[in-house]
Amino acid sequence: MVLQLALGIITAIGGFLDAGAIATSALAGALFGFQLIWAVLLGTFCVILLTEMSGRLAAVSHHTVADAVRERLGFRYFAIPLVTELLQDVLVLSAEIGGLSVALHLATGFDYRIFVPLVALFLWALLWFGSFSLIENGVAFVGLIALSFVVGSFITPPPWNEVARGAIPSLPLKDSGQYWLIAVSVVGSVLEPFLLNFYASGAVEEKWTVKTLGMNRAIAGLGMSFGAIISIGIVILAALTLGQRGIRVDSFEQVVLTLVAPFGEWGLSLFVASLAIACLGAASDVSLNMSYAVSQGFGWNWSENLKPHEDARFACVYTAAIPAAALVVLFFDPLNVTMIAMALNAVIAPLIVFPLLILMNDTAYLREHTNGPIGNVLVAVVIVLACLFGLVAIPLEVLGG
Amino acid sequence: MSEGAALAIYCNVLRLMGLVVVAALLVACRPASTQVEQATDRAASWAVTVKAVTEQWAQSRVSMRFTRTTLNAAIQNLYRDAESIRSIDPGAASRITRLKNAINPVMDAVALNEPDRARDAAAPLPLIMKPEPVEANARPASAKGSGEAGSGPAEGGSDNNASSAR
Amino acid sequence: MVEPLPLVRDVLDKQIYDVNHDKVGKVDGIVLIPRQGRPLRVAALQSDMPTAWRRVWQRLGDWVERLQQKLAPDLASPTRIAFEHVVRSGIDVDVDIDAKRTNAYGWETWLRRRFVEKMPGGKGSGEKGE
Repeated sequence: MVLQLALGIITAIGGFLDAGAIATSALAGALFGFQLIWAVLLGTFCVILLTEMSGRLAAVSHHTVADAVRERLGFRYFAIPLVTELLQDVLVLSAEIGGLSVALHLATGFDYRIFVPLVALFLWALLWFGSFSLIENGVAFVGLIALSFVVGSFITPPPWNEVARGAIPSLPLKDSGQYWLIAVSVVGSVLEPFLLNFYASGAVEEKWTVKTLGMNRAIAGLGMSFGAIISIGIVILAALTLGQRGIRVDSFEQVVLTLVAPFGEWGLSLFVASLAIACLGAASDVSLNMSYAVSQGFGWNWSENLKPHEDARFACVYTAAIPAAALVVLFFDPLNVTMIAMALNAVIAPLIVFPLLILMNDTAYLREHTNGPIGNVLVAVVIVLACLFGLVAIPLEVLGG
Repeated sequence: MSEGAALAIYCNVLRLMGLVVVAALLVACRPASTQVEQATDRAASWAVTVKAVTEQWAQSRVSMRFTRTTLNAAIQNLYRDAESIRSIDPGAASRITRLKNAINPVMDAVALNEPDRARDAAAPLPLIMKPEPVEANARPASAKGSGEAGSGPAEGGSDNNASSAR
Repeated sequence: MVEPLPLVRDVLDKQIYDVNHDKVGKVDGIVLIPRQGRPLRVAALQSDMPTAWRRVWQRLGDWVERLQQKLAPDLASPTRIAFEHVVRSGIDVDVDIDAKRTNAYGWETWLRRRFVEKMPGGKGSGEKGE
């Protein structure tokens, strides 16, 4: 049980970071110093709450979020979050494939577009041949290299009192439109809608039961918290190395400087490895989630642990999605795709979060493990915040450039 | 399907439609001055980036390959930004183009694997994008004399900035 | 006294499991048969994509059906399980037949033969790592 818990926490840490989290955290630090640390904390609080609930739903009922939303609210409601989430997942997947391609570009100097088809093929092969535990645990372990951002922020220590002040929400001193856009994007990069169903699907894959509810709470709480520390590390390093020099984040080349300052000649390698592995992990999660959502929505056989011969429809969904996503990033700049995807995460989050309020109070699914009054209030608050962020995300995207 | 679910569907669809309409209106109304400001901010950022990367290369903290990659990214982004605002503010576009061209000697030094020369060539780049100060008692510029009057204070301002940077 | 069965709450959209506890599909529709002068009879569960999408928009379901007929006309008919085979309902629906004896896996088999088996590693069955 302890080993499983440790694995779960490591998976959550290693899986927390992706192209979106790196880009938005770096941009937040570069433009607004430590002022947007509160956005990372807010997003983390929301994601802990919601992943714990989706894990609990899966452990008690052996149904995932997609299963339960369709079964409880009907196909007419389910179709809307299904279609919007699939479209959004393609965009997020493009961002991750782009991020991994850019990492290879930074390492070799060749145009990132050369790597896009190779990355897409590698990702497909990983999903086609790899089991769930290989993909999750294997990638997550290697993904711990992203802790270099945390270590780096201690090597070039910031004024910790100012960092602490950044944990408290504050109004922007300048560029309000951009400030709030980045705040929404930071929250969107943490509270990614695909994460809820993916986490629940993973719980079913790993056969969680009522006995693992405590472990679920620990993984959701500790894993996500440690992951958030990495994001805060990026904000701190970006504030010190980029923001103080007046460097914005318009390209991943600029973000490399955040690790060069503390680690010298190792900085580029650490950044390339962190970006590549974070994007690979996120890309595999998003691709799998598309297969999970469609298969669960239509009641097909599904499991990443089965060979494609056993669940052909499940395997064909990610096989179709990966090249579609790769095409997007061949024509559009990966960093721009990433920022747009993170902002749009905030737009569709209410569609995914709203059903949880109903499901988590359904005794048919959760028996005696339904939400208490505090849990319901917190979910309602998250829904209101998600709606607020969702409403302003697109106008801010335009205003904030 | 329950009434509540139906209401949720319709509210969400209406909300999405509303967002699209608002976005379309905002795109149409976005001021050109914001575009120019953002382009010049990005250019200033790239100037400092090139300076920072060449300094790191001179200290052997990054590789020549990465330095070249960054310079290429800078040139591409500066070209894109200059072209995007050329019709709105030709002056600002020219400044960005001047910055882009000023990176060429840095690129040459990288090609010859001369980190110190690259660092020295990149050092004055941020000054190109610094806004030109206007003197408090400057007379309104006439059609003929405006170029000369404008260049005098700017050169003086640049020298002041250069000395304060050292 | 037999308890009434709420069809929408406890049957529609639920996951169907067969006698081997294999997934069959979701209950996309319920087939009702009109009878002269008598109440409608619940005849069967229906599971297929066009039925599901028709509930969102009639035309969408028609397009999906046309697409299915173009791809594999012999697979375009829905999976129907007679209602008397329903053993239990609730958050899932259990039926007492073997799904392999129905056309529930028609599209799965079609995709497997057309695409999956033509890819490297597409012919092996069972779990990964075996």
